[in-house]
Amino acid sequence: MTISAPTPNQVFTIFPGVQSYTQFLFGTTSTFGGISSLTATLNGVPVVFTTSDSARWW
Amino acid sequence: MTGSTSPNFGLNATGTYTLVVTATNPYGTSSTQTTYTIVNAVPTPTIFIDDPDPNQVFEHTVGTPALNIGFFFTATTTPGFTISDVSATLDGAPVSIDTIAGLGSVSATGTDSLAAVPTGTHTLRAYGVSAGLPSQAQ
Repeated sequence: MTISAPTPNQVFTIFPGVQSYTQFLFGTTSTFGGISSLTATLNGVPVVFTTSDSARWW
Repeated sequence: MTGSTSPNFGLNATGTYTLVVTATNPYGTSSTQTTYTIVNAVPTPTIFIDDPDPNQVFEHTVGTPALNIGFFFTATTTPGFTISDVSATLDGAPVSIDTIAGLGSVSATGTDSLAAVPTGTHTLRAYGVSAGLPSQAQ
């Protein structure tokens, strides 16, 4: 199971008032099971992922 | 098997943030975690005086007309922001700028001539403002 993009430990520089978009790509080599969830925290606080692709996660 | 998604969050305060992303399989028996750093920075306008050169020496011959020294400077800010104002001073006193171009864009210029500059050492400073944040060069 990997998170292939963005590159691990990547640094993003953003600016107030300027929207920035990043797509996360993740996958698995497992034949069964796949991936059921992708969660995140920002400074320890849960981040909401907005996606319409959840049905395609596995 | 692959998927993609995007987080959606707003960062109002400047600073450095740590984003930790975790992918988990349906059984909760396998997961992977990746850490990213997000730097929420302020735009950094930069000013460059193209003319005259730093420490440039101008010679004036007694009995000839006083020196008029042209100047030209450029203010550039971070992409996504604009330069809202430029100005200049000579020895701390404001000077007029005859031609200002590019306000409202990422880069603006100021051009004029310093009239009848007296003998001595002088300091020309140029200023630019982006997102309410001033910056200067001399």
